[in-house]
Amino acid sequence: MPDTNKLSRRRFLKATGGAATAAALAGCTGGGDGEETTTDEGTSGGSTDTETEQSGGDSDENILQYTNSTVTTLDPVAMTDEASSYVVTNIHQTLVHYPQGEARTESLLASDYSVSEDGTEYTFTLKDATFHDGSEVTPEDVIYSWERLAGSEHTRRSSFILGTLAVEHETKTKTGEDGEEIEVYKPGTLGVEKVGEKKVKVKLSSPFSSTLGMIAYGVFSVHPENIVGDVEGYDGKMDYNEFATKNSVGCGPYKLEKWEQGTSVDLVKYDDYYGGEVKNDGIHWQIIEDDDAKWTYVMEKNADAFGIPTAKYDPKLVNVEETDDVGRDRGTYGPVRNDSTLNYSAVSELVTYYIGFNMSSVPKPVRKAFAYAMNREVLVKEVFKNRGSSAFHLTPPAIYPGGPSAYEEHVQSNYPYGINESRLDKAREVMEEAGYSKDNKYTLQWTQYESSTWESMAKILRDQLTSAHIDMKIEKAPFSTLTQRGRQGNLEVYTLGWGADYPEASNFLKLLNPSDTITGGETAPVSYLNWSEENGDAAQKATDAWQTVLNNKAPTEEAAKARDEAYVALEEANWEDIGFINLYHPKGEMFWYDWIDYKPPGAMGGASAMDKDITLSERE
Amino acid sequence: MSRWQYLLKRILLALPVVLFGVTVTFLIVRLGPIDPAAAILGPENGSGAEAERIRRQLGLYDPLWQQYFDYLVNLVTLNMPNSWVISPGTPAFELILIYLPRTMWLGFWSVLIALFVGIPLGFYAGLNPNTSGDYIASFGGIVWRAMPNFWLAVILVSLLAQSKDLLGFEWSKLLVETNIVTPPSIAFFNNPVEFITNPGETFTELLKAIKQVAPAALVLGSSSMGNEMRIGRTAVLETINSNYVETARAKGLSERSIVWKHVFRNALIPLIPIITSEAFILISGSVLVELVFAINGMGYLFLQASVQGDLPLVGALMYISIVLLVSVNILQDVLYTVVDPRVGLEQN
Repeated sequence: MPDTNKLSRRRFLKATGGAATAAALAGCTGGGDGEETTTDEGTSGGSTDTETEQSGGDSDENILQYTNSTVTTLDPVAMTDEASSYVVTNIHQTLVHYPQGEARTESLLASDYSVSEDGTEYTFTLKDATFHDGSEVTPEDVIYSWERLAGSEHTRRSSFILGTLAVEHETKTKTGEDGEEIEVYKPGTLGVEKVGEKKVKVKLSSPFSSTLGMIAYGVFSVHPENIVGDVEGYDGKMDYNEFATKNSVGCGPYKLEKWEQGTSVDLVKYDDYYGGEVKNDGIHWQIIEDDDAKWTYVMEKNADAFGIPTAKYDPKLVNVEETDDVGRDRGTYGPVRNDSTLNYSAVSELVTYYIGFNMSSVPKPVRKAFAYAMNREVLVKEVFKNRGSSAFHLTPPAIYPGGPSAYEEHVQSNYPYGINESRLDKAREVMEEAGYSKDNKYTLQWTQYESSTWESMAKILRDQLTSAHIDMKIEKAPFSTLTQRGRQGNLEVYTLGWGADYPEASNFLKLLNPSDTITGGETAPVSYLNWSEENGDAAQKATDAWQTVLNNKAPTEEAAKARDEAYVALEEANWEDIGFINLYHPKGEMFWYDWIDYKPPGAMGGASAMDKDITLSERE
Repeated sequence: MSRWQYLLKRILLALPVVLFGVTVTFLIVRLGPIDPAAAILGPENGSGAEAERIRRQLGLYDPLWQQYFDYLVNLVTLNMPNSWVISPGTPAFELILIYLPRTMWLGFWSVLIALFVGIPLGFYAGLNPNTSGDYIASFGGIVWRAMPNFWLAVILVSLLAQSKDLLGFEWSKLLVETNIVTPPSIAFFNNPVEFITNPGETFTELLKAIKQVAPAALVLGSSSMGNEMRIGRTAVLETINSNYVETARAKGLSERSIVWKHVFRNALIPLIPIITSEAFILISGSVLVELVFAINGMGYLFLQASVQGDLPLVGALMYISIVLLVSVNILQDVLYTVVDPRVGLEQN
């Protein structure tokens, strides 16, 4: 729903949070038990049933109305897009979650957890929950669900559990159709086991400081054992397609009522939800892709809470009244076309948009000229209508070592290319030193998404760089083409963005590990910089810093300190060699009418927040 | 050659055309620059080991001839696997069946508008040439034709959304309450018996569905409406001045039977290919109109599937479109012989 900009239909799945460190987890343990008690009291009473009957006649009255873009699947392990995540988060439950999209983790399906001394074994205790089909949630369900995430033919995030989280497992060698030998996950070897009636133990191959932050991601949702037969040892209760589209059974606050593909999704509240009363009767998402159509729809008051497309957004209508305790700007927006004044909330998301260079083909003076010419403040204001903040680091402020203030301080004292000013004289100087002139321009190709916003930004930059003897050609491509060409090393300058999978700087900075940026080879690169010692003096510094990160993954204070230093070193190495020019961190903005008691999401966005506590009064 | 023999021959000749079409589709999608794995994972994770694994899982590293062979077999047996990107839990042909009805509903009304407004208007103009009525109709037709779909659609949505201020009535509350955008609900077709058992409610539903699709149909039908008007006018003018009409008039035939029996039928001939080619929008829809009115139908599906390299879906969509186009062409040739007996099927 929040429309950060018009990048593409598939935007970032933002399962992120702030510092999900041991402190936040301690809170999760304590709070869990208390919550559970209230839960039982809440659901066992007949009050919910009576309410349902009372409002039975007016089916639409107490149902939340939203818009969404195309939902692709309701199978958690196959889910990769934000639109599906909005729905799946309300149907399925993870062991821990980001409460209301805030930047911290809290218990959800797990009531309690403990960690072994060496930080590699996590034991979770499950709450007394039931699935929508009436069966009880057991450790076997967790084992089965995660086995699907690791090894099902339908999984699209196996790297989260096998790579990032690195749950213990075995691999086997498989010969591909093309004759190549590859290592794949060996089914049934995942280090997740039952250790008690309600207890499940997860064994990691090495300690990982963001374990809880990672398993709060929606793909780690728990669904009933043997619901589908796409992993070894299970024959499946239903056909896969039925589970993924019509009968997605979870234990969340809502049951799937109907998903009409390309039109709408309807959820209805689950009366036996273990986590307390669901305060509305259901949720309706209307699927609308076009900005004009969406705007018409919300202006007709057909949706209660929504994002506003940038084309329809007017920064002058924003009136911020206060900043709340989790860093959200709250206030009003309006009056809009239908004369309403909307409620407003904005939060800086854990996303960074950047310009990337293929360093092996674009010489350093050119990259430097770009860095000098870039005035982020003006671009964000003029092009993105102030819906974001300037990015100097790849790591967003909320998860930068030391937080937003350290971020700011580091920029102010160390950023070498001018902060929020366009130093075209410097850019020209650098280029002329390298032998370029009016008659000897450097020509390069800029490749970006199919987005008019980004195009206008590219045009501003192109015009500025003309005076620095750079002739920039702008080209647009769908990102599936863009990344393909990146992989083959056929990009020169490109724009992309990165949204956090888990709330730690390493999730961002892995894009700057030089050996993971080499294109065209056997290994699959994560970014397309081709950063090596031949084209950057700081490549070795970055490689060393990344090694330090890898050597210090444990959730200890000492390791955290070493990591933090390495993160800053990586950012500085990037400044020195200019692989990425970081552009901006978008703001997630939500708008809603007065009749909905909307709970605006925190930094990781509404796609990972449940809607069970939202109430409605009479619509206008 | 009998009509049936002719038909059989045409069908046989159509087979290579279909094969060629689906082959070109396969080559463009598979050899083109689109990476479906990146489309699945989104821009932030379109790289790295996970994408590599998905590529393997989708069989993108299998030998190309094998991928092609599987693809052809799946098409012919109508047994395409699940869509790769758009809906990984739904087989491609099934997905088409989900998106098709709303597009057909929209296409049906837009063709109807074109047929029942454009052609009569053109005939009227042709029968009354150089009168003020002709000028108004002709000029209107040209202007109507000249307005681009995407512009007209946006303007119409905007106008209807603010109809209370601009037009004096509220479109969304007119007759029955409906949304201005979003697809109409045509669920009543699933249970047509309701029209008899529960007429009141079902007819309201029908009215709602028509009202909701009307603005989009008007926009989608607008260009062909203008076309048909102009071609209809020319065709009528041509026939009405021909010798046999003069002869008929000399024989003392009534104007009415001249128009209906001689002029009308002959003037329809040039319109046949126009009308049949329109039938195509019934299936393929229109990306722009569907997007602006938030009716996510076949046009939208086609676009998304193509730009995201969703091979099973693009293949299935192309297959159906090509088969349809070819059969409409055959149908058109057969229709010629029905309307105009002079057109024979024999080769001379």
